[in-house]
Amino acid sequence: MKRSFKLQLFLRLFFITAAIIAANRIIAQHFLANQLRDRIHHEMAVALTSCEQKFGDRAQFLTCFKDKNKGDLISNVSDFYVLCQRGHQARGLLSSDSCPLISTDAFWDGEQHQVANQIDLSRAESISEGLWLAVKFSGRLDGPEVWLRETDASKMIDQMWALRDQNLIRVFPFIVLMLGLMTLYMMRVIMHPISSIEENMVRLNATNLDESSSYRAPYREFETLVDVFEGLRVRLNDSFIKARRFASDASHELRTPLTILRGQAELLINETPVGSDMQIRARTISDEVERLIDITEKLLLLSRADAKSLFQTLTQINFSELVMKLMDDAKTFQPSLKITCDIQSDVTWYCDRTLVSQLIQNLYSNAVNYNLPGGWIHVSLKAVNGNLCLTMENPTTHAPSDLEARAFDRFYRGDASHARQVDGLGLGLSICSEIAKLHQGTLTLSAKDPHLVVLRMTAPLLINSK
Amino acid sequence: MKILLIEDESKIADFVMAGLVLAGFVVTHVNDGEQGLLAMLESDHDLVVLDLMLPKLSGYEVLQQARQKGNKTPVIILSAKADLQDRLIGFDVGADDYLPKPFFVEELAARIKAVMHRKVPEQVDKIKVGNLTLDVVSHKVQWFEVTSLLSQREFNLLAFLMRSPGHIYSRQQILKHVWEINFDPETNVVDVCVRRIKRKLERGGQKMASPIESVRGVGYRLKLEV
Repeated sequence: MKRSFKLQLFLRLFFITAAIIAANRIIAQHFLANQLRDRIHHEMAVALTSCEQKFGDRAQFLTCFKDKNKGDLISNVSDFYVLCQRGHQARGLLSSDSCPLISTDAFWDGEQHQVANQIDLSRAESISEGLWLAVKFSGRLDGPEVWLRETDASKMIDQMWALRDQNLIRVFPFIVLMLGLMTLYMMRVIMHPISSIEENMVRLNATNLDESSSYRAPYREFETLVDVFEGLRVRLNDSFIKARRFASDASHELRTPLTILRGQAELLINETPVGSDMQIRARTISDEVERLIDITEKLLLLSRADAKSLFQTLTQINFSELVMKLMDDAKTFQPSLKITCDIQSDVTWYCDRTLVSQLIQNLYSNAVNYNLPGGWIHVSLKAVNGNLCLTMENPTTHAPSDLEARAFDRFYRGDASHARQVDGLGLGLSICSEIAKLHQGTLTLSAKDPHLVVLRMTAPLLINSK
Repeated sequence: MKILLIEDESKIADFVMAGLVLAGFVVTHVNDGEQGLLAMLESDHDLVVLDLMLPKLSGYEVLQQARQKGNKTPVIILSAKADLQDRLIGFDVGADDYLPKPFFVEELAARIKAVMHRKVPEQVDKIKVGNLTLDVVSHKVQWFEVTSLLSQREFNLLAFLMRSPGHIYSRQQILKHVWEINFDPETNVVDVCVRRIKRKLERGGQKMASPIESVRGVGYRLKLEV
């Protein structure tokens, strides 16, 4: 089982998305936190300035603070800050916990080194001498600035991130679903041109290579692929045509010399003394020429079948009689073989008589050639639902394992060691198969039991005109 | 009976002529289309055997022009092309028969006789070779005084041999023509059948040896002088 492209695409998209989210958490969080902190500081400073008069009363200050900053970020986060009164002379910071009094000097002494890196305090200008410190850094930030103690801002921002992460877990299934849908959509987009090319390729086989395909690449990017494929098809078709024509031409060209050979050999037989060695030799030549003629005819028939120019002259025939006649003869041919028939009478078939008799003869000859000494042949013919079914069974020494797959290959002859004793070319069954196909039927061989070969032909009694 | 053979391949013409002469025909041979047409129009032949692929004028053209000029001599076409379409073209142009290569001269002789009989209808219900007479209708054979009834196969075999007396046919050739089978069934059925015919002909202590001769290693034939 090959890996699924869809699954691969989905997994990749999933990991990429996860990486983007993770990177976003780290990078965006860093910048966002800084921006957020600056914004809080700025808004806090504005708020402090505007509610400066109420610094004395914590509750009043909070109300004023929230009213003035309604909808702003600062009003939402004000709960994070414990507002407390500043000690005498202290220029302290907003502070949580116990709001210890921080003396200016103590503060600056204690934490100066921490903050000095961030803010140039020498340029800080106090704009408020109230309870809260709001400082404005000249040259650095516009407007009043409040300087929060680092831990307070961080705590708040951390909580925001925690909320965001909680939400992320909640939306996680949704993200996966979206990714799945996106994968499917992407698949459709990507696969559409590929599958349309594929469809076109699948349609092609040895029999319709010559159909001039008007297939166009759906997108510019696929043009090369389609062109390459078209080139392949054209070349393949050309070589097919050449191969077919070769067999047909060769057979035609062989006819004249074969006619001469046979004619001369027959003449020789008649002109040499009766019973002489010379005459026997002439007969041997004539017999071999006969074989050559036979082979040539078979090759021509096959090449015509390939080129779809095997002409049929269809007539209504009594197929049962045809089979019976051959089987009756067969009984006299091989008295040592037990031939049994189960033939439904008067099965009429619309077929080419010459080709069909060749088919029965080939099947029979095959059954004889690969039979056991003193074996048997069973022939059955019946018509079911407008189809005829002809089977020929015979025992055999040992059918090779690849017989079922290769029996209809040209020049294939069952068992190689046995084949030498059998007079044949290995074209018989191949021809039978072509004849069956020509009648819109099929010929199958089954050798499930290696000691029994069953050949079965099924074909419609009436050929559907296309 | 005068036959005109138009065939450019001299080696084919060679044995065809030999075979036809043996069968009792008088044969004239020309080897190209133009001469063929001329010979066809000028002299009086009973039948023309015409090859298709000829130099100068093709067989079809010869036939077409001869027919246009009112020549009605029966024509048998010989051709390496055996497709139905080729045959149909042949018949369209006015051929009386079409024999694909490779062919037996005996077959050609038989076809010539068949075409001639068609043209000159005469009752052929008996085939006669010397003292051997075969009744086509009743399948009875007469050999000197002995008359026997033959089975279908025996009749076909004897008729086949009588078609060209003296010619030796192999078992395979006999099987092909009499049994109409196209493979070698490795059988002695031909010998059995010949033996049966011989027995029927020699019945009743007949002194005359059977007209069928078996030639060891070569085949069977009907003796020439029967």
